[in-house]
Amino acid sequence: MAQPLSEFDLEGAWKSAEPAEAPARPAAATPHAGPTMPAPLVRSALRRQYAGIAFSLVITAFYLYVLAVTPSWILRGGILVLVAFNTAVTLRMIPLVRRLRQVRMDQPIRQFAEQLLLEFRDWHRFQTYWAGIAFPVSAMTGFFLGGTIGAQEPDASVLLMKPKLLLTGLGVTLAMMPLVVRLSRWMWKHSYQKDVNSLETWLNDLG
Amino acid sequence: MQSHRGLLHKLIRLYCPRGEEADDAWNEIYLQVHGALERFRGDAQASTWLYRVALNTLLTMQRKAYRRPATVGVEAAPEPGHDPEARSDAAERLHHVLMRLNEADRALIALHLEGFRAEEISETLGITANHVNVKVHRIKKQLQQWLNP
Repeated sequence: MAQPLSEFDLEGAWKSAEPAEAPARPAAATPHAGPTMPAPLVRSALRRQYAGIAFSLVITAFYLYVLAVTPSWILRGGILVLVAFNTAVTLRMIPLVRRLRQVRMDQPIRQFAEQLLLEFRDWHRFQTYWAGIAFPVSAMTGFFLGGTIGAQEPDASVLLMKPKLLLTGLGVTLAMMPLVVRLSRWMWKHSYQKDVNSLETWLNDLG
Repeated sequence: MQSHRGLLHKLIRLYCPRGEEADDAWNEIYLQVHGALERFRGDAQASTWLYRVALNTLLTMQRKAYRRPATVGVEAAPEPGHDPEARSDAAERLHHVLMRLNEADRALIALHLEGFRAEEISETLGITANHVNVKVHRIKKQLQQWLNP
């Protein structure tokens, strides 16, 4: 099909946009010979993940402290479960962090965006799954801990003798589950969701 | 990298309209290229490899600033740090309409206008050469409509 004579010269205009003076090598940048630096987006995600690991370690230290001072066998059992749980979560986070760090910057754009998206979705699944387990376990341990302190009893097993109180604790825990799910969604929305949306937009635009 | 400064500069300008962002982008691309250099095995052309790293860097920098609308209108004010008088009127008009495209199309048409073949663009973007040709045709048609209303 014949092109109109008045057609804008795209290539000519593009070539004429050459900078009059080519930018100099950035002064602030210092090339490093170490491992590949993660992409800016990945660095933000890694910061959140490192913060998650640090939080998990602090909580574990607190549990270990309570474990050392409590005489209650129920609390000791609950805390051991929590420590094991936190250790498992931290160990599970390490390969996710490592994989995210290893996303190659020199991939074609589509593959790069797809891989990042996959990593973020894996993280989402991990976060949702573990939050679903972590909350009831933490809540029930907290219930026994609070109950022991509140009742001024050295042994939390006295709470087992009070079925009404026990059922109330369980009921409150279950009633709070929807809130926890909402909180988990809120955290996702304000951390990874925007990144995921924009990567999806890129992939859609690439077609 | 020095021999590709011209196109890198134009790409950065397309994705980072603000002066200080452009400086950050330069630093980031420079670091990313040097960081990834040890992985370069020569299985792609050096220029293809370089633009992959540069565009992936810009793509992830854009994500960081996603709250800000990436697409601006034709009447958008020139960004600080760039002298519009130093560029031709045609180049300015073209720049403004390129900013109306989505980010993926911007990368594609920039590589095409720079003279890359469809196969090279395909290797950089990760889409087929046929798809590149179809998209180039569609984008150029759209640009002509905007430039010759």
